[in-house]
Amino acid sequence: MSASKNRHALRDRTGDPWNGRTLEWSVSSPAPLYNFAELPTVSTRDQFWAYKEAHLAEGHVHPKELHYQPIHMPKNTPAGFIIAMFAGIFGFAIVWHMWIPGVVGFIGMVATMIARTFSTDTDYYVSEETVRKTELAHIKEMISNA
Amino acid sequence: MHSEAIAVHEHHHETDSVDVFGFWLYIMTDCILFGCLFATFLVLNFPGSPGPELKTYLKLSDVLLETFFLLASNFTFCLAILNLYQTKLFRVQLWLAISFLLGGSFIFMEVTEFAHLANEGFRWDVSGKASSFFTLVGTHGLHVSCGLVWILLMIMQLPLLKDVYVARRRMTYLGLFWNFLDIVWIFVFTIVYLMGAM
Amino acid sequence: MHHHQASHPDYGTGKKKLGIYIFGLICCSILTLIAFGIVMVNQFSRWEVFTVIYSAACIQFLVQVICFLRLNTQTEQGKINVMSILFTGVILLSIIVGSLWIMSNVNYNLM
Repeated sequence: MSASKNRHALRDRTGDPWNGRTLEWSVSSPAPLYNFAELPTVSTRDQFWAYKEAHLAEGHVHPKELHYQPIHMPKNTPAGFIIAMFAGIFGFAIVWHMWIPGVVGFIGMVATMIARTFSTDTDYYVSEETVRKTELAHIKEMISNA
Repeated sequence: MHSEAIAVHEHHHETDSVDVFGFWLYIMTDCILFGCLFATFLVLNFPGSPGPELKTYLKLSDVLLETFFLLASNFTFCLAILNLYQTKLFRVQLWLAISFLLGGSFIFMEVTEFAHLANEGFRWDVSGKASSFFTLVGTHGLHVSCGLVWILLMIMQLPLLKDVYVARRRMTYLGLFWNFLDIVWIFVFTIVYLMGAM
Repeated sequence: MHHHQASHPDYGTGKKKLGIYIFGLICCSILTLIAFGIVMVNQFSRWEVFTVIYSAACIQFLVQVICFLRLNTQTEQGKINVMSILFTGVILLSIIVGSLWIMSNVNYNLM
């Protein structure tokens, strides 16, 4: 009862509530849309733990100032979902020899795929500013809760 | 988040070579698919297996003509790629159109051949041997037909693609696909038609 | 880390030259004609025909891959492409030879 009443006050803001050993605990919760600001180099199974031990001497878990750069991300699109829906109609229809819905499903799939190829505006870059702001906010949370 | 994105027109092409390698890997898996169909065909076509023989209905001169159509379309596609790298857009579309016509003739001949075979009694539901023939050659034909649709789309889209790197990458995909189809056809005509005619 | 946009992406293909494409076309045509010819004249024994058409097919495959696909080991990506095609060849060999071997054994044992 008290856990649910006080859930806002008791909420973990670091993304690492159990002092995790592996890399998934090194990002905020929820994770930023680009996941990792810099691709981590993995040389051991418990990479995050190795990182924590290396920085224990500094007194707290505090990632050094990373060199942030723009991150290449794809734009959202409904195309995949629409193709999947048509594929579902197509698959179901041809199993039961329902030719007309089958043809409709097939044409829908192919038409959506072709329409998708006409779009070249499919990606964007998350700016260095945004990456820096997100990462520093996460670091602040980690430090203030360490 | 979107409003803070960097100017969208600044397209870097650092992933282009990885993207093409990804398509190359798809082509490799398609080879394995055809390999399985070949294995099935070979197993079901052991000498003495039951069912009507392809030999009785086969006209090798037609197959030779089909082969040259596909080989020629492969060559004209390479010419289209050459012109693309020299940025002569109209020439690219011209050679693509010629590739389409040659590939289309291949498909036309193959479809009429299938219709003729089915009429004569060599149908896909008559024996394992015939099934494997139609599955193998039919799958190849389907691939070529999809390639033809893709070529048409490419002809339409090339003037619309502002970025030359995007055009090159897409033409590379299609080039890999089209070349690969001719390579599979080499094995199809050797194993299916030439062996079948002996 | 800003990327220089002037550099061409490495697709692992060699330089595209008209001469090589024409050479490829002529080789492939000749090999195709040899293969069809040897079957259509009907003068040779089964094994002779087998050898010729299979070698013609393999050589034509190599010609197409080298001249039209322009596969080479000059660039890093080219080497990766060659390795993946060799791996695919290994898989194909296993599937086809394996199927034939097993099915002919099954055929023998069950006939």
